[in-house]
Amino acid sequence: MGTARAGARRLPLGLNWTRRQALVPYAFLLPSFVALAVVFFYPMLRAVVLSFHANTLGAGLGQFVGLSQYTGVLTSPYFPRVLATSILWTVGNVVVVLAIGMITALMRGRRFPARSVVPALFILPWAIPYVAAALIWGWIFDYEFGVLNYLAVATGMAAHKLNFLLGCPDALISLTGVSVWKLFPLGTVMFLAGLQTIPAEYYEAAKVDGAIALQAFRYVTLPGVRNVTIMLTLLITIWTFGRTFTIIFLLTEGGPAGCTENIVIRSYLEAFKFFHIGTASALGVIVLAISLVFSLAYLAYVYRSDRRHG
Amino acid sequence: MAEFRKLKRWLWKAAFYASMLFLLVAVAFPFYWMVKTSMDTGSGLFAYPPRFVPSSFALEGYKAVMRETPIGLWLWNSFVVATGSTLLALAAGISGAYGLSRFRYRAKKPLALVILTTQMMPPLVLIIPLYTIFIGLGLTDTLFGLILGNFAFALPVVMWMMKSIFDSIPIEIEEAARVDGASWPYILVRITMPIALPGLVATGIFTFLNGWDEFMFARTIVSSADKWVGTVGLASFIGVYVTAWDQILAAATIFTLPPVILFLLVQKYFIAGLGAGAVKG
Amino acid sequence: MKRNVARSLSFAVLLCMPTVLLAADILWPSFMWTEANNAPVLMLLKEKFEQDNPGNTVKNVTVPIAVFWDKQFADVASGNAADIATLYDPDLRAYIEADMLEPLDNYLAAAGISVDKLVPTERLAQKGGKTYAIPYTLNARALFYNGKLFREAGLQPPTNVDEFMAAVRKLRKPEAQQFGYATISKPGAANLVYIEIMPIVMGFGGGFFKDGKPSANTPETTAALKFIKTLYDEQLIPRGMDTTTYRQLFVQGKVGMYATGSFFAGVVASGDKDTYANLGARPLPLPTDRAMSLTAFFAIPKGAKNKDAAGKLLMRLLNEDIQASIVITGKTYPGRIGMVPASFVQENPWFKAFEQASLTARSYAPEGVEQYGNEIVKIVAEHVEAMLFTGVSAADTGNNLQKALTAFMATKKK
Repeated sequence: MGTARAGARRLPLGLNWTRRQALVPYAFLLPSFVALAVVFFYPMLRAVVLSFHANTLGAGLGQFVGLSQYTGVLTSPYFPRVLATSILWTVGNVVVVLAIGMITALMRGRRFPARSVVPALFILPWAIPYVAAALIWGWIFDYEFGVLNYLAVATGMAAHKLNFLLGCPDALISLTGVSVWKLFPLGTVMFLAGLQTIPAEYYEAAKVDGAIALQAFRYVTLPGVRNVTIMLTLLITIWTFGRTFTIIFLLTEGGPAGCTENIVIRSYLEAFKFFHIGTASALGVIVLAISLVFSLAYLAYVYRSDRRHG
Repeated sequence: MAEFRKLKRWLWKAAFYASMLFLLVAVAFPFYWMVKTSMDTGSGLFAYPPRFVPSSFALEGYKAVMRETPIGLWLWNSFVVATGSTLLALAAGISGAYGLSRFRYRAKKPLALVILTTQMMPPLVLIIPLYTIFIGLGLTDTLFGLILGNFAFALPVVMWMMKSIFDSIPIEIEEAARVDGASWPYILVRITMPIALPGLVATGIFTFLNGWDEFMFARTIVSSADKWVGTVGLASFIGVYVTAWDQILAAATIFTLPPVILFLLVQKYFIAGLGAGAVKG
Repeated sequence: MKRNVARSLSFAVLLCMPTVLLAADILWPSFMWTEANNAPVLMLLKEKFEQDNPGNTVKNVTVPIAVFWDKQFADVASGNAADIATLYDPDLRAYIEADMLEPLDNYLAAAGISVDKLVPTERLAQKGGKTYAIPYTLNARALFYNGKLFREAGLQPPTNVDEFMAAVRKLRKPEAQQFGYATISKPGAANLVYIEIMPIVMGFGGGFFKDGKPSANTPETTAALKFIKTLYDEQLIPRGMDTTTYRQLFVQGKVGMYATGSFFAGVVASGDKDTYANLGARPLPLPTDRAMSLTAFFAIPKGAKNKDAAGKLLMRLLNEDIQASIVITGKTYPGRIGMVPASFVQENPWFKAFEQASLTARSYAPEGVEQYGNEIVKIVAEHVEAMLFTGVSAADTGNNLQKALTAFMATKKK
């Protein structure tokens, strides 16, 4: 039961390469990668170099200290907690975004009034800048004057006011909610496209076989969007693991009591509050390493089982 | 039996509409609340129970913002930076994306992975090295420096997205042109790009939004008041002593409008474009 | 021969110095250029300085407070330092220990100002016999209260800690969203958490460090922590609110008492005439009369391009006219002792409490280890947050903090 692809096949482009033709791809790649090297790889390299030196306040490099920044970070009391928070955060985001993305994409398939308007609305959270989103959600979650607490108590859903951003793990859950709110449109859009590539015949065949809705979902829909799921999982994992900053920073700055402090917030604190640039760079490299290992492992797993199923 | 099935269908329908409504509310509510609160004034802000209708329609917060801050200038600067960095990134990234999508060569998979790797390091950690480079180049406190910085962050994303878009375009058309003797640049520009247009628009909008939203780099590079972009301007409302919530939310609403309008206008392209790339994986 | 060359060279250099001074454009980025309290003072300084030193200008660049500290650090860290740096107590020590500031002794001598004319917290700016910064404002804390709310409740402003707690309880009216006191009740910037609790901690006679040694679980510190926890647990303070928001609440007359610096009177005055008319202040009614202070220092970073001009500018700040302006417009105690005009105190009786506090106030930075201030602040804030938001008792918080701070100091011994 293979997946239905949109029709593009990989053909080896020309079996008659001349040497000049062999250089063509590199001609295309050169400008982009040169630009990338200058503005991205060089600073990245510099950050790596910084991570092997002592922390200084000024512009030059501190003393070369080998791996001691890394050992310092890995043996520090905060690292396990911060790593756990990052992982929890990432898993939460990926699972919920995938779920809501899929549900909203499926909804588009149904007939209902205002069918053309609703998907446009669903994309709105994507358009709002993170800073504005953080501001308004912070006010909505406010303990004393926030509208959520008012509604929760007034409708009887809660016995007393809730500590949305004040408790642990409440804060982590609330923040994940905001992050998911911002991110799920990406899932919707991608799943929509994926769903559209599944031929209708597959569903009909399933119906003929007597499958009920849930089974059709499991055996036709899910395999049909496999590529989308893989790419979405990878992207969201990388993004939420190593790049989530603004939302947490503006709403709880890592609190309460370090409950929502992920690795990125920690590296911000190290760099800008404690003036430990080397340590912050080491944290950045650790994030890079973990993401890289995860991505490689994930892709290997996913595409190996691909080959097995043919 | 038929009764039961009718009931089940009715239940599914109800569940469908209920969840749709719930999602709609969840999505739209913060926007509504942001606009409503921006119209509350002074004591209306701290009213409890919270008012669901603004305490006044005089738009005092907006007037104060427009009177006392150069928000128009901030928006213009944001626009310049976002557009500039997007155009640069598209110009520099498309050829590379094409190279990563077409052709067969050994470095292909590793290079694609390299692009992905650029997303894995927290931008925060790159800001100080980048800033140091910019100082050396004399680009601090300039909009062009900000454009370059955003370009740096946008380039890998553009390359990755356009690669996916190109991957999803059938190669047969290009092969036909190749057989006819067309050169690669010709193919890219005349044949592939028109098909990839929705994807290109989607990528452009995505990059534009990232540039519009960018905060960390802007706050580091820019000092003079006439170079502030929207995000820095918004941050300026967070005062040392008191925060004027109605003003900051009014400014936030104004700052949110351009990307929202842009999105609504082109959401068709966006869905089509992004989706096409998604399928190929 | 060599000595003559040396002599003529140094003479030439000396000749050049005034010429260098003539062309200086002093770069001064700050968030204060648009603050109602500070902008007029600094603009006056700029005006006077440019008058007295024709050819020299002050380039005032406004940077929003929300990004100012990070930007200042980024600038210093990448060798792009401005000519004037603004530093609070812990950052000041960190910069001095990292040797990132220019000594100011020459400029002080040239202006004829001796260091003991400056407020006591100036000792934080000194190391190895040299002075590295001058104080701009000394923001000592005292207790502001809303006289109207007290009259309505039939209360007198409290004079000891029991009356204090009683007043907080009596002034709490949930139906009117009225509170007796306001302090930090939301997780967030560690700095703010720390600054808001320190007046209480110090008032109880406690502190997290004494002479460079952790003192988090002394009876005094624990008593202070207990007091704060009670305020939060019994919902006597607005919950989940950050500093700027509950300050607004006070301005709108919904909070009975608030301990902060005298600048706040200016904020109230421009926010609500009614509240300002009823504004009073008195020393914090806590077991000891130890007041907390937060000093804003100005210094010259190493690598500044216009050191000498900046040095002259800072000395001009210490002149009587600017110092008086700091009091009258800034409504804060200035860097030099004895500069408060009597007329000002007459017109603003609430200032007396702050005048009193300023002369005995101690810095909020951890005593003896100020240069680790930011890291210590983070550790303290984390534990205080755990106490408030995850239900750890005050006694346990004190003990946990003591352990954490001791462990932290051990890593610094190396």
